[in-house]
Amino acid sequence: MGVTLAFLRRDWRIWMSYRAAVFQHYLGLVLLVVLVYVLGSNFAGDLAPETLLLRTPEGVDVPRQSGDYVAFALVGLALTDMFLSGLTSIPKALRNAQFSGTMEAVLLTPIKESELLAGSAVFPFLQSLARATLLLTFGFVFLGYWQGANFAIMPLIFVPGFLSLAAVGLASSAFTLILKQGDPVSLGYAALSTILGGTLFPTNALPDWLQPVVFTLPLTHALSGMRLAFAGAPLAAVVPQLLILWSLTLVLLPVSYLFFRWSLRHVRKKGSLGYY
Amino acid sequence: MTDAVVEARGLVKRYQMPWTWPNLWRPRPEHLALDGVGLVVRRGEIFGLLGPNGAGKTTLLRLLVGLLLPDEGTAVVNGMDVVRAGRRVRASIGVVYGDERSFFWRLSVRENLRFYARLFGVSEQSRIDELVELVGLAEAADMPMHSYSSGMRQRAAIARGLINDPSLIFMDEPTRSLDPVGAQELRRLISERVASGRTVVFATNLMHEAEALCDRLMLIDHGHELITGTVQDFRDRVTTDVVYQLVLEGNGTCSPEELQAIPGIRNAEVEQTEQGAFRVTLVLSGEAAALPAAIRHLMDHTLEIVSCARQDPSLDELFQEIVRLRRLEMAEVN
Repeated sequence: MGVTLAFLRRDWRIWMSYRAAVFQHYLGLVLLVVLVYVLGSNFAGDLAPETLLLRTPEGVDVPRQSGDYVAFALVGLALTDMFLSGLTSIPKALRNAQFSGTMEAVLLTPIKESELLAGSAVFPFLQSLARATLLLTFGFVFLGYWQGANFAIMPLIFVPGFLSLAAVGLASSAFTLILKQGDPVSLGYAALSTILGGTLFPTNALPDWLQPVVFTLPLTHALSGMRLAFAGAPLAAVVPQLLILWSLTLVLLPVSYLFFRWSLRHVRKKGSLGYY
Repeated sequence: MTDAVVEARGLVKRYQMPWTWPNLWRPRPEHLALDGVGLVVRRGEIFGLLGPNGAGKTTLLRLLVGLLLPDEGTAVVNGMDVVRAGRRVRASIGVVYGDERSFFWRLSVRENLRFYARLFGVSEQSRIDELVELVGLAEAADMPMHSYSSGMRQRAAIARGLINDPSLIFMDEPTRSLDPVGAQELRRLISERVASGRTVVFATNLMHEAEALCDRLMLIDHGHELITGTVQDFRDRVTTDVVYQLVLEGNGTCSPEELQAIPGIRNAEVEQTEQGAFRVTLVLSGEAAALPAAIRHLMDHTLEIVSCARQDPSLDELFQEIVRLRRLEMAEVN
């Protein structure tokens, strides 16, 4: 825990040292909320009732009590940000460490691999949590969305959703260690997930030939499960998502972790640990 | 050997070279960085690694601290195998290396040290204060590191290397970037650490530093161990001759041929200074048994001895000579 806190403190202090960037970060977030609200309420309102939330990729019908586009997009943006922090934060932190030259210095300490991974992910995750909280609070307090949400089942969906994407992120980290640039996972996976995973429009609006791809993305099931929870669905309604997400997690996480450990050993053997 | 804190045997390290067109489908060429190097470092000694640029010093250090894995051979540090017990080895050692980029430049040295201290499980703030004081950075400890000079960053690297109060410290060119005062302070610090029972292994290109500090040295070149031992062992490897320089005054004369005729004198050179004195350089075989005979000969020629000093070759000269001999040997083999 002490090591994770040390990473958190370090990343917080570095982030706060770029004051203009901190200001721009939150200004951007406010502008995003305004944009979603203006566009959603003026242009997408008519689309929402029939297409947005009625049927999930697993074929579950959802009650329509929170079914307008702004609510849909706010949940999509907030949760995609959090889920994708699991995917992108560790490879990004490792890449930064390669560039800054701190990778070897950190690995000269008796840090465990799991501590390195958790430490690298914790600050970006908390940042995304802060952004998500801001977006969702805006929707909940000012727009009156999700008043009947089932908050109790949200962690049950969020944890496997985050872990399954973090597993993909671990594989991405392994490629980052070996290849430095050109990691094939991060290259398009985050963008693909955002476009096809249901962040800004429902997956059932996508053509049939894309549906197999949509189904294989953890983000698809994580978002659809969370949207059900926001719509107030009971636990039974999210069982399909839970099964898929836990299956993905249990398969991907150990495989990715072993791949990451192998890659670390490989670069130690090759002598390219500090290269960038 | 029971008091050994580092024991390495047969370390081999090969680096793969980049692929080149049109050989993309052939096995990648390899560069042999270390070829079967072994060493033993005893508790409480200062052990120096010497060698020309690219000799393999840094590779050897990186293998010993676990940043690199060997292709062959074993390394045991503080009684633990570096490959199998890497974490425990790293917890027991300190490493100072001269890569300035190894710090978070947006943070102060105090914040950097606090971060690395936590990774070592050290949480006492007093330890950080003690270290910044020790390396002379107390006044600048809260400044961001991007405003530091190279020498200040090197001091910070030294503080980081001592953060866990290690019994064994590895240093790669630790006085690089330091001003003469800073370098002298570091040498004093190393001596103090060793006096209190620590062991130091360091790689350097500064011969006077190695000669002044090290109990024993290893000279490597092209990944091969050339010699390990004391400076005297290095001298014995190069030559068994002893050189004396004498300054003489008087009305007499002095001829090199007469001196060379004395048994045990291999060479003699005589030079007259502007003040009219003679400077005589004698190369004597073995244990300088011929020196009294040479002095008697000079005094018989009505010359008075002003000074007589033994001229040992410096480590720098020994280094160059050993490397030269090795390269000649390699050229003959090839």
